[in-house]
Amino acid sequence: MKKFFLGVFILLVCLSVIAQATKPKRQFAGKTRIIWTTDNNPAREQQIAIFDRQFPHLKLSIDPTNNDMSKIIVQTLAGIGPDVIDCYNRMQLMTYYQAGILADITDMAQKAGTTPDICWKSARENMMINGRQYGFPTNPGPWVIFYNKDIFDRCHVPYPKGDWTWDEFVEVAKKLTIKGPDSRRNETFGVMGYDLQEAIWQNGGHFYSPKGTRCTLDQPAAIQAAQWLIDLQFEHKCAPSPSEEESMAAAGGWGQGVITLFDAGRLGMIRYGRWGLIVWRKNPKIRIGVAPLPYRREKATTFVTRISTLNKKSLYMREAFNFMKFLASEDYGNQINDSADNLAPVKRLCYLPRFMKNPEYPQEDYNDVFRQEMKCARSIEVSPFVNPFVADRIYRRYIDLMRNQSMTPVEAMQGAAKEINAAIADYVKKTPGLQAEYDKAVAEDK
Amino acid sequence: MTRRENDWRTALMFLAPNFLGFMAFMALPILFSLIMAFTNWQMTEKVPLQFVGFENLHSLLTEPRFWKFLGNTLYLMMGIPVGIAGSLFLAIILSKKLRGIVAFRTMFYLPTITSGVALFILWKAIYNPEFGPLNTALAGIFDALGLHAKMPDWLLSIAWAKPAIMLMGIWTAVGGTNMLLYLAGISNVPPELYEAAEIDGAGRWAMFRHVTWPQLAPTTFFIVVMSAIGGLQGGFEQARVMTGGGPAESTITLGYFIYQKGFEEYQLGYASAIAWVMFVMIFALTLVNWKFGKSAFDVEV
Repeated sequence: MKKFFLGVFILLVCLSVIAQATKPKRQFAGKTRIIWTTDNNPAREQQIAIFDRQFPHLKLSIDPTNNDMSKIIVQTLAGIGPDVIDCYNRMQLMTYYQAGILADITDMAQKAGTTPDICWKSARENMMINGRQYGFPTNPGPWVIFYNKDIFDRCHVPYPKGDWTWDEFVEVAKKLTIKGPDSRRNETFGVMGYDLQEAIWQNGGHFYSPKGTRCTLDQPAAIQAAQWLIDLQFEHKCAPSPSEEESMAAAGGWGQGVITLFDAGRLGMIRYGRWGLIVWRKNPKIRIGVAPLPYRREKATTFVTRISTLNKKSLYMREAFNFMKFLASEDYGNQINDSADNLAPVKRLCYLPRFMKNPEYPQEDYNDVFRQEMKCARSIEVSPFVNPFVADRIYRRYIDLMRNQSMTPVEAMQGAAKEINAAIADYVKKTPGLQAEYDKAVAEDK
Repeated sequence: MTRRENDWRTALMFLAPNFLGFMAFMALPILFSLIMAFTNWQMTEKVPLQFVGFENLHSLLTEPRFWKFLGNTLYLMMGIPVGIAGSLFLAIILSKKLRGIVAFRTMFYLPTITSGVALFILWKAIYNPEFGPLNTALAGIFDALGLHAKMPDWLLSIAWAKPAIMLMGIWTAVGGTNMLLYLAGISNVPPELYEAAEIDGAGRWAMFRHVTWPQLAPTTFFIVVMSAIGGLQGGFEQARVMTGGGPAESTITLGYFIYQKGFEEYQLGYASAIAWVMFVMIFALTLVNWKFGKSAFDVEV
């Protein structure tokens, strides 16, 4: 029996030695390894090659399996987190900031010239919190309308040119909605994927008051926008209802993404970003056009980007900061522009002739639309006085109730505002030191 | 060292890996979560860890969402008796000595060994409002009757989402482990009891009522207790895969609520408090089962 236990003990020791020996070393062939937590996009290989070329004393490795926010926070607080952490939206950035794991890179960025002023104007809100810089954008861009030229031709509708109003947009969407041969189901829908927050801006409204002290979804601009969006589905019937969305996804058989339905020729128009071209470039049959989002009172679109941030507790923070220089470099920016993974974070690079005409894709004559739309792109509104995920959860519940027609847009927007405001009050009460900042913001909001 | 001491040492050595694993991965985290349930733990450096006493409990019990999600959990648990009855019925059928019965038993048990996520995706397709086989079949029946009713939007409608998940739960439960337990219980019923009942002229129903059911009482008691515990803990995977907790949070159960508070809102102290409230409820329910179930099922424990 003793021999058995001794054997098990020796085996475990051996396995531990093997595990330790095969653990990736931070020093790799005389280079320091920088760990970047991001998704395993096919473009990463090329991006890593550019980084390694630019910084020969460093080796960049990605950790795509470690993208869960709670894991990142726990690991980082425990001192073993990744060096570079990608945030996929402003809510994530705010959550990491509130968790206290992000490095303030303001001073280093000023010395290196990787400051917000070289980026698109809207990016500043995404990389700055309380006037300090916490990251650098990786692939910013606006949401636009992508349209299928074949469906437009089939319905004898002229392609959209330049800015258009909501009314014009609805008329086009209705014409692109084609009934199937059995007249029970639609063969195509005019539009899919429109976003309420954007519609609220386009109608002159906001999600929060300027300082974020109260939710303003109960204001007429937001309610009208919600009504307009619901009308697209249930009044004009040019956008699929929730059950039609579900059915289309199943019938298409390519998953539930709006992008795959558009790729399959089931949608006349969708709201999407430039990265959709990565998929559509592989489908030579689809002829695409790009138009700005329509509006009612103000032109507006959502500024969307990943933001790369640095781990405050990283042992290699100074080395990892080179990643910010890499993101600001011309080689990286051109890679993003050429691969259509949205736009280069440095604005100047999108005004080079190379951006307008990619010789590999001569049919893409619409790149100027993306540049133009960046002028009215806005970051999603978050309040510093509530957990952004809590506010989002409340908002989505009311959207569900509205889409289920259990509530009218007026009831849903008023209910959401009331509950989010209660969440703000609760968060301020429970967060030490926030009350003074909140009181000051309330005074400014008035 | 005496032989007795040597035996003790050997026994302890055998127990040590399991005991250490239990301490490291079960007992200590449980104790830790109990302590954290009385704190404002948020996993951030900006909010210092503070002892808040019963504040989490008070907030929880005064939060309407908690009662709503408890209601959702209890609603889904209403399928448990149907599932148990179905398991018993199936076990009786599958206990017959027929050709190929082993294959049938395996087929009915298959859903239990299939990955839950795969099953949930399959059911999501079944529930598809227009192309799902369920609505296609229902529409056929209604059309044949000359009725042209609108078919339910199973997982998208607030009214239908919970019954849909409950129906799927019943399907999963009927052919699952409960059926195996009943099969084992039925095979242990002494055949002479049936022979005696037959001599007395008992019919099939009388035999079930006076022989099978009493003999299965301990099994039924065990199944009821375990199902009640599982029911209170369950619902997370289904909601996560099939509905995301929607529409309008109508399929969020207490288990999902813990996840949402802990890993979406990062209120880990609060999530621990929910877990302990859930533990108290499960414990109380088990005690009630123990107290009244034993006599109801005439079980000696």
